[in-house]
Amino acid sequence: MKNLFCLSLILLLVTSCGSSSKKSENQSPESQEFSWIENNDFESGETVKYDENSDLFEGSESSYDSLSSESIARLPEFKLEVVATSKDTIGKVISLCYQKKFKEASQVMDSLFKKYKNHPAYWNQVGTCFFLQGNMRGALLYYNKSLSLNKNYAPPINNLGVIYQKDGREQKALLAFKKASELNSFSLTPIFNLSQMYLKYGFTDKARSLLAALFKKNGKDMDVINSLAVSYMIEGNYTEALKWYDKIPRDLHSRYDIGINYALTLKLSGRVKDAQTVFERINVTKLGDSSTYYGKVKRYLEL
Amino acid sequence: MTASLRKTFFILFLLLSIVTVREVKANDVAQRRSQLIAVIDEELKEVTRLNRQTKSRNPRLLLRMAELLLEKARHIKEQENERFLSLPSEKRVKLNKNRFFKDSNKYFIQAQRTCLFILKRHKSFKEKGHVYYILAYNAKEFQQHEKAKNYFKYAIRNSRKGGEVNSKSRLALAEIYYNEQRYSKSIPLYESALRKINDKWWTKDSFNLAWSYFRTKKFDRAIALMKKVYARSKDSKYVDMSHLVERDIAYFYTESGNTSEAVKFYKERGGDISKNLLKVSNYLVNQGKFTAAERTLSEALKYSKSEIERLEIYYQLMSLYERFGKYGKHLDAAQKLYAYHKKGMLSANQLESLKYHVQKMAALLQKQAAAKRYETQPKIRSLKAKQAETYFGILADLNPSKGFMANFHAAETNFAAKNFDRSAQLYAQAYNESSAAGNKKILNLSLNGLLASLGSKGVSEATKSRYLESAYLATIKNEPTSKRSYKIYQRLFSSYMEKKDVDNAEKTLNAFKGSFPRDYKTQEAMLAQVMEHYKQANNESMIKAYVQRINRGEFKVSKGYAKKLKLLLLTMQFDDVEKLNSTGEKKQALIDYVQIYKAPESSEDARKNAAYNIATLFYQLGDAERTYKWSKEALNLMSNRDVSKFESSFLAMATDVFGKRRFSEAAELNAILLKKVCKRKSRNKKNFFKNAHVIYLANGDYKSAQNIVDSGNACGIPSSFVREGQIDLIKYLVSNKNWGILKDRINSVRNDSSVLPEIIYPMSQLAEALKQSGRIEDGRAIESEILNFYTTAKRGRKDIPLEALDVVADLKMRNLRVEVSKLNSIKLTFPEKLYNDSLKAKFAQLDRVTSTALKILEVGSGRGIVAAYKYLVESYEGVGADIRGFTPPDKSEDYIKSFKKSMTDLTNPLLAKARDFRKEAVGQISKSNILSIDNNYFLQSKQLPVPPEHFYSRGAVLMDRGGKR
Repeated sequence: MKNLFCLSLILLLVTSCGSSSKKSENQSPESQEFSWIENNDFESGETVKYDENSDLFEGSESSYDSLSSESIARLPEFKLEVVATSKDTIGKVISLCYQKKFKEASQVMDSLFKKYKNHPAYWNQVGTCFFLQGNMRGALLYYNKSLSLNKNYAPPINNLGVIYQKDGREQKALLAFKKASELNSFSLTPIFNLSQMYLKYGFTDKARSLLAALFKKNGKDMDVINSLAVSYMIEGNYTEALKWYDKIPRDLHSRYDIGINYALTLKLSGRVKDAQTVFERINVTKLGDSSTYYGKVKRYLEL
Repeated sequence: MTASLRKTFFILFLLLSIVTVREVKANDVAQRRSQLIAVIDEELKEVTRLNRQTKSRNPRLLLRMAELLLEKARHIKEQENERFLSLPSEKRVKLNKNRFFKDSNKYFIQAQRTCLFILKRHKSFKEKGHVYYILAYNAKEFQQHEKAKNYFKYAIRNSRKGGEVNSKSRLALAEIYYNEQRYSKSIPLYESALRKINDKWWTKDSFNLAWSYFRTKKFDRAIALMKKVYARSKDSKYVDMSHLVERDIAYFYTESGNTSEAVKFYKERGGDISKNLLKVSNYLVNQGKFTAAERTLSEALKYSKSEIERLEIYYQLMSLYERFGKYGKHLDAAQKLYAYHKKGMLSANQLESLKYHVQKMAALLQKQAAAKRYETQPKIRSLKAKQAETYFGILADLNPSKGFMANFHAAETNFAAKNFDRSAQLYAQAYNESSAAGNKKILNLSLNGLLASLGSKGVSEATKSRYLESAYLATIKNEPTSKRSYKIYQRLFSSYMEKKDVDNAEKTLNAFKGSFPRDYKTQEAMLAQVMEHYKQANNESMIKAYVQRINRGEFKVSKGYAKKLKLLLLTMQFDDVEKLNSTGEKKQALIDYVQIYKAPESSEDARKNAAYNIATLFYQLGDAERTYKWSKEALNLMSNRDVSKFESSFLAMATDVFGKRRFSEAAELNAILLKKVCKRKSRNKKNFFKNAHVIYLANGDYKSAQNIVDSGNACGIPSSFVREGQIDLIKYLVSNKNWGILKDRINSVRNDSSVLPEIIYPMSQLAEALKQSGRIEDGRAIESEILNFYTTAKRGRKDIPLEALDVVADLKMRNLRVEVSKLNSIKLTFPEKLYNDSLKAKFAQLDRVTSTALKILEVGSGRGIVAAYKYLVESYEGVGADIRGFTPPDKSEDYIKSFKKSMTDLTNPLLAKARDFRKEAVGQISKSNILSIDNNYFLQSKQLPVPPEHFYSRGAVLMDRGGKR
């Protein structure tokens, strides 16, 4: 019994032959039921091996996004469409997820499964799709799956950091970002995330050195510029801060993460009116978790 | 003529008369006897009268009287004898013989007394020899041989040498010795007597002398004397002894090694040589001279002219050969006689004798062939067996109705001689014949022998192939339930199987089952061979049929074998499919597996295996939905043991289902796998456990996840895995704000000290939720428990997660805030005594703040450290500022100046301490990258009117690719 089973198992698992069916198939209900199957379908085929040199988004680069070669999280909708229709098979999955086309993404994932089941980037995308659907546990599982294929693959480590941060475990998130950035000195996303954390907790020097590097990569990344401005503002160097704020287009002042501190900086530098103007540009419908801070600044601005 | 001479003549006359009486013919005997008695009586009367006259002084008269009395006694005795013999035997038996023979006895005794009187009264009587001669003859009459012999010796001694009495006494004594076979004593007596006596009895006495010579190996003398006797026998003067001479002289010649002389002797006399030789041989045989008899017969055979004579010779020879163990010659003779028998020449007696001989010799040779003695002489043994077989063959022909017996014995002989091929053949013949004759005993014995022969080493394959099957069949037929048949069935079965005659093998199996229905083991062994055959022949339908028969109870087999057989069927069912599979015809394999699965006649094993293989094929196809469906089906059909064997494969399949994001299905497969291997050794058990509950939670199925985690201990999952599961459940409940269940869950693990550090944070969340919902006391109670758990964990040197440390630090921070508040509430005021008291209280409270803060620092929470330092710095700086800022009211300038100076001295250490605290805080923050909202208080030299906060509206950025290099 054991031998038989083992044999059958081995045969099933090991054998893969490309010849088409020689036996004329009878017209049994089973034949009809499985008419959609071809012998070739059983072939495992060659799985795509991970190649770090090709693990990036090509053609999706944005002049406003220093991270766009490795993250399309901040890309605008139309850019995501570009990625979804590109030849980048893995990129297609994630772009669909970012577009919240999860059903479509799921189909693409299934179609790629056999080829990419050993590809860490594939599983990272799957994890992100779950993340984007709000299923953090699912995301966690697939990020770990990705890591199980390559423990030094930075994206899932960074993304785990994102989950930790979201979960309030910032210290753990910091470690994840740091590790992700250390694994690949060219990775920008963990550096960006790290800079944001440093900035949030007053490590302005540390944050600024990271941000400077990012700025050097792409001087038009408004998130980076804003962060640089904040770093100076926290230190009380309002003049320097305002230099950076000046680089931010006006339409972005509506973002609370830009507008509040810009207004505060203006006020601290004595430009009360400008401060009020900028502050008023903030889209109050999208204050997120900054509403308390928004209130404090507002009071300070005596508005 | 003198009286004595006259008497002598008279005696001679009497003697002659007596002799003459011998020649009287039988019919005249009685008459003559009466006459003679009358004559004797006359003379006796006369002699008695004379003796009385002489007063017994004349011994001659006494001698004559004795002679007459003796003669009379003899005649009367003859009469009495005749009368006696004429009586009926019963009467004779009852008769008193002394009384019956009293008359003759009376005269014998008188004669005896007379002679003895003579010898007593006339001791010097010259004719004493004569007296002794009478006494000797008288003693002879009374069967007193020794006495007679002695009297003859006295007679010889007391008579004149060469005289008649002397010579006759010699002859008489010689004859006694001859009869006593004392030839060396008889020879000289005969020789001396015959030199003097030449009467008609010479031939007879010489014949005896010739034999005496022969007996003492004096062959030449014997032959010469015999020839002389033969020659005188032609003379009427002598008694004719020629026929005896003709008879014996051949023997003399033969014994002396000169048979040709005998032949010559007979030729010269124109006799029938073979007939005479035959006679000689008969004589020789009677004499116990068998070797000579054989030679004679062999010689006679050369001269025999008729078949009847030859028959007789062979007959004689056969007897002799038997005596000497000349089996070859005996057989030859027997065969010759058998040939005569076939021509109808043997008399009934001869035929019986031939049968006797053949039977005896066959038995003898059979015994010899079986004897140990010839074990080392195979050639001789074979020869004897062959001879015995020939005898048995003759015997069979002689007695056709008992031919089977003869053939049986012939078979037995060959078997004993280890001629197994021949014995098998003969046993088979005997079996058939005994069967026809209805002799069951020999039938059984023949069958036994046949089986034994066929089972012996050395029997040829040809013989086996010719007889084995029929022997087995016969045995089974005759004794279907015997011990022997028990083995025969099996041998027959094996024989059929060897010949690939499965039909008959099956019949044998069925017959065996009928005879030995309870011997399941053997039935099983036979069945196994049949099944193996069908397996080799790829005859699935037959195997299936047998499995069904077993299932119906037609064959009882062991559980193990039944299982094995089912497996065989299964193997066959799957062999073809697996071939397809291995040759890349996987689609067809899949179709076939599904058909096997659906087929009503498929066993559960087949269905189970089919389901498993279908699952693996869908696994190869990457069809998660069907992989799940068929894996689940296979798992449900499989025993726990089966699952253990294939757990790795199932794990791979479940992993693929998970890979295809079928959480519910993947979790279920892992759960089933866990359940199946729960009580078994399994290297993947903990993986199934972890996968199941983690995926269930990812799918939002808390209840199922909880069931899995709760089964962990019972399934022998390592406690670290179970603990992890418990924590995961708790975290899930926290993240889903499922506070009711969370409380219960925490309660269920609170006794596990290893879990305590991990549940501090969730407990804090619960406490917060309770407080938010207005259940302040419940919340506080949990917070109190958190601190207890922390103390326990710390004491147990357990690793405590950062978020738990933050929770503990936050709780402890309350005390610090209270102390700080107290510190701040102490106001400095004058008069001086009051000031000093309040200052003293301030310092005392500052100590309490410090010690409380230090306790928080000890917790190790980054957030707590920064906050505690902040409180310390603020307290020290605050106290310093309060003291420095106090100006005693209503005091002189000098007093105030002096007061301020002394207070500055007092506050400098406080401010220095505050600076130290600040420095320490900065060091800790930088070193440990502490992420605290109070960081700016220490890290920024300039404190803004609004503590700055940085937000990133889109949150941390997900990283989708490795990026540029």
